[in-house]
Formats: sequence, structure tokens, C-alpha cells
Amino acid sequence: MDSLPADPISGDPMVFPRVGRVRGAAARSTTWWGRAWVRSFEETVVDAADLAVARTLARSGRLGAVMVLSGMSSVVVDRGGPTSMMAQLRVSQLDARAWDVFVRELVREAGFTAALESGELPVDLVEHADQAGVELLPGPADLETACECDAWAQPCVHALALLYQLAWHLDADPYALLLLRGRTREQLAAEPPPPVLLDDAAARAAEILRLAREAPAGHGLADSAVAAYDEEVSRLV
Amino acid sequence: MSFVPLQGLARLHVADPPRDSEIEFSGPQRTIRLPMRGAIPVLTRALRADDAHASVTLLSAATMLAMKLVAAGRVQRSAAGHAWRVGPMSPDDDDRVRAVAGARTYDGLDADEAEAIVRALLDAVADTMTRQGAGVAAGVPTRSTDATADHRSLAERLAARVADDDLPSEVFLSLRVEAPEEQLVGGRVSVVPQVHEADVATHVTDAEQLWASSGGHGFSVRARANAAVALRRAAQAWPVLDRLLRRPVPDRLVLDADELTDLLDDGLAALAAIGVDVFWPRGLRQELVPRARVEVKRRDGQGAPLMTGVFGPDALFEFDWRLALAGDPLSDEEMTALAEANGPVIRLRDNWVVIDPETARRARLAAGRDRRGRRELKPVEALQAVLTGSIASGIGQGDSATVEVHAGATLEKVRDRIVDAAQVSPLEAPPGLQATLRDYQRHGLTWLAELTGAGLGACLADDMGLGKTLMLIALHLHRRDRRLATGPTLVVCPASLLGNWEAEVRRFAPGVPTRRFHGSQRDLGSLVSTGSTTGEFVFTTYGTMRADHETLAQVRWDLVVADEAQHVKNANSSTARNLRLIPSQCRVALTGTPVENNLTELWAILDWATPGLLGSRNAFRKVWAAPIESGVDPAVARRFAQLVEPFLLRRRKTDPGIAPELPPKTETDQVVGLTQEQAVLYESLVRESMRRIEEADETTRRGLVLALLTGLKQICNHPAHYLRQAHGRIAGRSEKIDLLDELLGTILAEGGAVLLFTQYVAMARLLERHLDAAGIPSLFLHGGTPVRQREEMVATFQGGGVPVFLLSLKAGGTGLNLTRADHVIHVDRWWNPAVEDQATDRAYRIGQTRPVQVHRLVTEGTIEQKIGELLERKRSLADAVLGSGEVALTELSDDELRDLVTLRTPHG
Repeated sequence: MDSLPADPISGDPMVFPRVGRVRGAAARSTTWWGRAWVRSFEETVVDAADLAVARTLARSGRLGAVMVLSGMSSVVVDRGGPTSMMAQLRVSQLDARAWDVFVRELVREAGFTAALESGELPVDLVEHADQAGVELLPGPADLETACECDAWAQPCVHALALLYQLAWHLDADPYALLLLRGRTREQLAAEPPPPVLLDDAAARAAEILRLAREAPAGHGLADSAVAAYDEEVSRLV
Repeated sequence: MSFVPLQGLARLHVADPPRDSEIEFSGPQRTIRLPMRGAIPVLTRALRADDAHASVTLLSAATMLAMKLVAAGRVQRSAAGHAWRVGPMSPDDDDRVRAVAGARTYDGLDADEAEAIVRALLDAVADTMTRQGAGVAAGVPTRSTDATADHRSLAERLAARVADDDLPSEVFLSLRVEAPEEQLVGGRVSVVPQVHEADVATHVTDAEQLWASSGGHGFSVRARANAAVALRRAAQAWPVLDRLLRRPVPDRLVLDADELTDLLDDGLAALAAIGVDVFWPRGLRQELVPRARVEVKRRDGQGAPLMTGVFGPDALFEFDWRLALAGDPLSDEEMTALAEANGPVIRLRDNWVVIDPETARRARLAAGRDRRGRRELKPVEALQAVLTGSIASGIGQGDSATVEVHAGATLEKVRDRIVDAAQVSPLEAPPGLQATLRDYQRHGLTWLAELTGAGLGACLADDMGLGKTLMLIALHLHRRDRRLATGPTLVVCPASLLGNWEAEVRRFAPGVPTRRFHGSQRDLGSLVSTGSTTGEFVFTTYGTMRADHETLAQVRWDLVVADEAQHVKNANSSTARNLRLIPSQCRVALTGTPVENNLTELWAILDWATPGLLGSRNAFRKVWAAPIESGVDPAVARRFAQLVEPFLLRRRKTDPGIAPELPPKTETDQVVGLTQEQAVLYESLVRESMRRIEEADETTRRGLVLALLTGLKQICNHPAHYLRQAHGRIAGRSEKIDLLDELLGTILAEGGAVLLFTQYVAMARLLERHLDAAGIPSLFLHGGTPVRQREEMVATFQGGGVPVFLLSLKAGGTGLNLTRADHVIHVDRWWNPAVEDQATDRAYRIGQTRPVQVHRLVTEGTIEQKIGELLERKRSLADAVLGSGEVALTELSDDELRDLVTLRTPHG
């Protein structure tokens, strides 16, 4: 079984400790992006029965620590005997241009970074990036798995179990998704301050010009129309 | 509100960076200087005003041109690199600049100067519109305007990060309010987030700085992400902050009046709960403290009031609710301005002030249509307010918040007088009082004088035996001495005490005319006509008063006294109702029972003494009685005590200041009268006996005299005693029984114990029957009681098991320890009072461990009264009757005897 070659890695790996035995159906993904992640790989599976087996395996406690690097993730599976095997996932990373677009959207609102730091992947961010042509969430074509087991088709149940566990980890920390797609948390934090959003200034100036065409004429003390106008314009300045 | 003048000269003051420039607008009434942010909106509309000055339209046109350039993206970094300006300029752009300048020159300004102004303004607008600082940080090259990719290699960036590792990353958030004049005018303020180093709060920078440049502020790069997270938490606490997170750089937020109100109402508390402080500019947030001023309101009275004086029911008081700024109450105009303000920002006394919305709401209510901030108060409310120092403001929906009360000068004086009434330096006994007042009695007199002087009633609730009657008599004389009295004094008391009152007035205030208004012949005579100031004491009973209150009400009494006021504890009874209809200058209630234990009784008594003090009965139940009895809020009980304390004086025999002043034994003759039945029996026995005695010989005479004297004494006790009726009706046939009931009532309510002495076993049995019917447990010890039973009885009594101990005088015997008794009642007398007293005291150890009150029931005008007088006159006879008293009385002559036994009716 040949393991996939690893690209030169930048940034530290994220290591998620082994998940012990989990009872019941409590192992479903709880966030929208976790669920989107699960949808993206469930589509690639030929035999639906494999999914059930994989889910059971994910909950069994037989998977070791999950390692996540740029574009890659792997886990060791306990097969019940003296030997173990490793399952791997490769995710295609976004290229530098795509990351620039994504970062531009990221810095548009200070709240986006705040959300990420708080364990939440903002829907608006992903949608804006999407509209700008960058899909953060991988599709089936972006995922490629390998395993040391002797299954004749990929993804095997071990790789699927890894994918399910990754969904839980993504729930907790969306930075894992960003890492899989090619950027570490530190790299994102080290981004220089957002550029002057000239587009933004231009848009506001245009809006002011539009408002000014309908500006009220008075300037008396008790003129509420004037006050309202001044207030609206001052928000755009 | 816009009040930027456009008719006068406008001047541009250029600054570096251009965004800091300012524009000065001048007009006939004012000159205003606005920064770019404030000036731009004004300038964008100034072209529409037809009376704008030429300088204004010049700047205005320049502003519009600048906007068009910015909208087209024609903005670039300045040469120095720290600011933005318009550019690059095409030739068309330059033409436009010159056209704008040329068209709007005015006196004192040529085209070149105008052009310079236009260009400067273009840059200022551009720099302002771009919002972000274009700052340069050491070591990190700035990005160009077009590139969106970071030129540094990853390695370079990581290297930079290592140096930054020493800088602090952990931060916490605070908010700084900025309130420039032009914003305050519109009721707005700005809020700027600040970032502090965790544990080093003094290391602080505006949040903006963490985004605007990557150095110079002393925080690591990671601090920015942490600051964003902190801001996110703050926005969860106060959602208005969310707007900040929607910007690329959370630099500042402008709050309108509604948002500022929300901040003050909810935001501050929510932010404080997560540790985010909000800092205000000095002097902006001032506390407006509500206070209420209560004062007497002068009004011309109409008609004769029931009670004059400051707190009469016709009295009016004013309640004025105001806000005070720094201790100084707001004037009416200021309150109105406050009430009419649109938002939390108002201008007050030449300063901008942000006020708490709740306070503003209340001010609006106070100044509103209902004028609830100023209203009249009933005396009860004013009294409560001034005594407890607080009042329910009633300002605001369901607002029961109490507000501090400041009494007006007049009311303050009255309050001081009332509260300190007992501490004021004690009065001297008034002239005409034939008695020495003990210290506590002088205090009591002073207290009574102070309260009645203020037009307030009083309730004197001292223990029996401390001299309430004496203090009242002193009060009566005091009022006359100081010319305060406007009429006679009326004492309403139980029938059995009438005689006692009269006797005490005659004893302590000889010369004061007295009159009884009681019985079928009663008459008030001259008192009714004009307001008589004879200083007369009039006594009536509760029964007579109830029946004949209309007659009594025709007199303008000065002082009305309700003795044993527990007789009016049921406010609904006709007795209580009719008592209230009797007009007086002042009222005093006397009672020996601990009235403070029963709030309903207390209400009834104080409501008569000072009408309206405690409010209506229902109000009293709701406001005071129910909350106090439920015990949920101890503060209510405290406030109630403060309210009631000045009007209730109660001293106990056991009080440390009182007990030493009391002699071990106090003796009182309680004088009662004869009932009709008794009088008839008495007179017929006298007539019968005297006839036979005069005809009798020596030996028979002795026996007849003894029989007569004995019979008369028995009649004085009770008809059933004399007639040997074992089962007849007891009540209502002898005033001694009535008085006994009164005394026992008070004694038992006090928790005392009493010895009842009589020389007749039959009378003791009658008393036993009477007590039994009244449900009062008693013990009866007489000559025939076996020794062991005696010991048990004594033990029971001493142990507090039974409060009343009946003893036949002859039961005698030394060694009976009955020291628990604090009262002794001699229902009837033996022959030699002095000897008998000594014997009883010794035999029963009376007065040895606690002060004792001895009551001697004496029937007026009868042999009981005369024997004593006789003995005083004839000392030799007294000596002679030592031992076997009655024998000597048989030695009296017929005339002396007749004199002794003839019934002397009391004068009316």
C-alpha cells in the first residue's frame, strides 16, 4: 500500500486527540459547515452500507489521534491485532490567488475573524467568497483518500471514519477546515492590516451624491428634515 | 437639530493630516467650528439654501466635486505617505477645479486664493472619506493601492512574527465615549472601543490602532484577533455594538438618541456584567438625584376646625418632586427642559449632560400634564414623610420607589419639636399643682405639652400607678398658665373611675372647679354658651358620652382626655364614633395596657388622638399592619416605629429610670359610688336600725350597732352580699365590682398579679363566682383552708399559674410568701386601716421584692369613708381600737353614730 506523497508542509500540524468510545447517535455533526463537510464526502460513496459501518467505526474508539496539516489529514486505526493501519485524506488546497480573494473577504468585517476565533465559521464570509469565485468548502472532487487496508475501492470504511471524525473536529474548530484548504491560523493572523477599501469609499461617496440630490433646503433650528439628512450623510462619511 | 449658520462667512482651517481640518461657519447669532466629519453633511446640502454666503457655496461646490472624484476612485496616497488625497488629476479635473473657484469668488478673495481653498478642501474630503489611516509602520512596507497580494514572502512574515512574540496578546476591552459639540447638538455621541493589555490596564490603545498599522501600539499581532473576540462578546451583551464588527476596522460607532438611551437603560449593565467599562468625558454624565420637598401650604381656613394646629385635618402640605444636580435642585424651567428633551443628551446649566433615561421619564411625569411632581399632601402623608425622611414618590408607572424628603423650614421646625418632645428640657410643675412631680412625670408633662402645643394628639400608656392622672392634671394647669387653653377640659372615663378623678383633681389642683356630667340630672350649664375659659374640669363616662355626645359637642373644649382608652379600641363602636365628634383643641388618650402589641387597637386610639395620622383603617391595614405582621420586610416595621414613636409614651414600673423613684408601696383610695339599689338598701337599713338603737337598752344596743355597721359594709360591697343571695346577678349592682373589673383588666393585660382582700368569706365567694364567670382564674384562701392546700396555692401563685389570689383578712398567719403580687386590692376595710395595713404587709410580705400598688375601694359618702375620717380626727379612739376595733365604736353616742351612718350624697 503506497502512502500518498506529502507536499512540502508549511505551518504546524493540528493534532486532535483520540476520541474514545461514543455512545448513541450523539456523534452527529452539529454545525452547518460540519454538515456540509459530511455531505461532500457522503456523495462519493458507492455503497451506502459503508457509511453505517464507517460511522460505527468512528464511534468505536479504535481510531487514534487525528493529524491535520495543510491539505492533508491522517489517522491510525486499531484493527484489533498487533498491527495497525493508517488512513489518509488529501484535500486540494486553494491556490494563492484564491486565498487572496478569501482574505480580502475575511478582512471586510472584523467580526469574521472574531467569529473564527470563537469557533464559528460565518456563513456570510463563505457566501461572499463563493460569490467572488472561491469555494471554501470542498466538493467531492477535492477529496482523495488512501488506506493501508485491503479494500478494493476508496473511500474505504477507515477513510470514511476519518472523514466523520474530521466533521466533529471542524465543528469545534473551523480553522481545521482552513488548514485543510491550505492556510494556518497563524498565517491568517499574520495578514497585514486590511488595505484601504477604496471600493468602499467610492461606494459611500456615490451614495452621498445620490442623497445630496434630494437634500432639504432649510437650515432653521427646528427643521427635522435637515437633521435627518445630516445624520444619514454623516454615517457615510 | 441643525443650527449651523450658512448666511455668514465660512472659513476652512487646513490641518495635517487633512482629515483633521476644520470649517468655521459664522452667523448673526453664533459661530460654529466643525471638523470635516461634521461639516461635510452640511456642505453637501448648502447649495440648496438660497441665502447661503458665497464662501459657503464655494466650499459646498468643492465638496461636491470631491465626492464625485472619490466616487470615481480618484484617490491616492499623499507624497508623505501618511494621508490620502485626490488624484491623479486629469486635465478635465483641473478645469473643473478652476471653474468652481472662479465662479464663486467674493469680496476679499481672488480666483487663485479660491482655487487653493478648493484644492485643500478636495484633499480634506478625500482623506476623510477613506476613513483608514494610511500610516507607515517600521519594518513593514506598506501595500500599494492596487495590489491585493502581500509582497512579503512567508518566511519574512514568520520572521516578523518571532519578534512580535514578546509583545502582549491577551487583552480586554473598554469603551470610550466621545461627545463633540456637534454630535451632542443632535443628541448623539460616539463610542470608541479601546484595547487594554490584560493585567496592565494602563497599557491601552484605541482598537483602531491594532488594525490600522502593525506596530507602534505595543501589542502583538495576535492581539488583534483577541480584540475582535472581545468585541464579539461585547456585542453579544449589547447588540448595538454589532455594527462595529461589520466594519473592517472597528474604529468608532456613532449612537443616535435611541441607541444612547438603550445604552443607558440596558447596555451599561450588560457590559459591566462581562467586564467592559464605559468611560465618559468628564462632566458629561452627572447624576440627577430625585428629592421631594414637603412644606406646609398656607391656606385660609373656613369654619371652625375640629383641631387647630399645624396638623389639623384642614392643614395642607405641598409635595414638590424635583431633580437635583450636584445637590442643587433644578428650577421649573430646567425641569421643563428636561421633560421636553428628545433623548438622553440635554444642555443643563451651560453644560452638556447625559441623563439616565429612567430619571428623564420620571421628570417627564413630574412635569407633565398631571403635574404629579407637585401636589398637595394630606397631613398623614406629610407627617409620615417628615418623620421617616422618605416618601413614596408616586412618579412613574407602579413606581413605588421611595425618595428622600427634605422638609421645608416650617415643617422642619415642627418635626424637630415632635421628635424631641421627650428630650426637651423638662418643664417645671405649673403653679397651682399641689404635688411634687417625679422626674419621669416632668418628662411626661413636657412631652404632653409639646405635642398638644403642636396641635397633635398623644397617647400616654404608662403602667398603672405611675401617675397618669397627675400628669394630665398638670397639663391642664400648664395650658392655663401659658394661656394656651381655649376652653374647659373634658375627661371621659369608665363610671367606676369618676370618683377617683374628681378626688385627684381636688387633691392636686385645689380650687379648680370640677363638674360631673353624668346621671339623670346632668347639665353643662354655662359651658355651652360662649367659649368659657373657666379652666373647669368636666368628667363624664363613656356611656353618658355615647348617649349625649351632641350636648357635649356644643362646648368648645380645650383638652379632651380619653381615660382607659382601650374602651374605644373598636373604632366602629358608637362609643368610638361619637367620641370623635367632640371638638377639641387637643386630645390625649390614656391607657395602661400595652397598646403597641395590637396594631388595630393602636390605630383606633391614635386615629382619635391625631386624626388622619395613620390614614384610613383600610389603608393602615394595607400599608402597615399586613406587611409588619407578615414580617417579610423588616424595614416596614422600622419605618412604622419611626412614625408612631413620637406619639406614644410608655414607661414601665420596671424601667431603670422609674423603679428607683417608686416607693415600695403606693396607696390609692379608689372612690366609688352606690348604685340605686345599694342606696335604697343603705338608707332603709339606717332608718330601721337607728330607730331601734335609740330605743334599745345598753346590752341590746351594742349588738344592734354592730349589726348595723356590718350590714352597711356589706351593702357597700354588693347587695347580693348583704341579702345573702348565693346565685343572684352580680354585674351592674355594685360599683366596687365595676371598678374591680377595670383594675383587673389593666393588671392582667400588664401581666401582673393581684391579691384581693376582703374580711368576709361570703364576699370572697361572690368575687370568686364573678371572676369565674369572667374567665379569670383565681385562688381563694381562707381560715378553713387546710395547710397543705395553702402551700400548693402559694406555690401556684408565686409560680405565675394564677394571677388573682383572694384572701380573707382573717386567714392571717405569718409566713405566706406572696411576693409575686404587684397589686393589692382591699375590697372592704377592717376597722383600723393603719393597723390592718401593717398586718397584711407583714403577713404577706407585700412590697418586699417589688413595688406594689395598693388600692382601697371606698364607697363615697358612706360609713367606709367616714370611718377613716373619724379615725384621723380622733387619735385617742384610734389607739383604743387596737386589736378588737369594733367594740369601741359601740361606745359612740347616738348622735355620733347617726352622723357616722347617714348617707352623704356626693355633690354634683
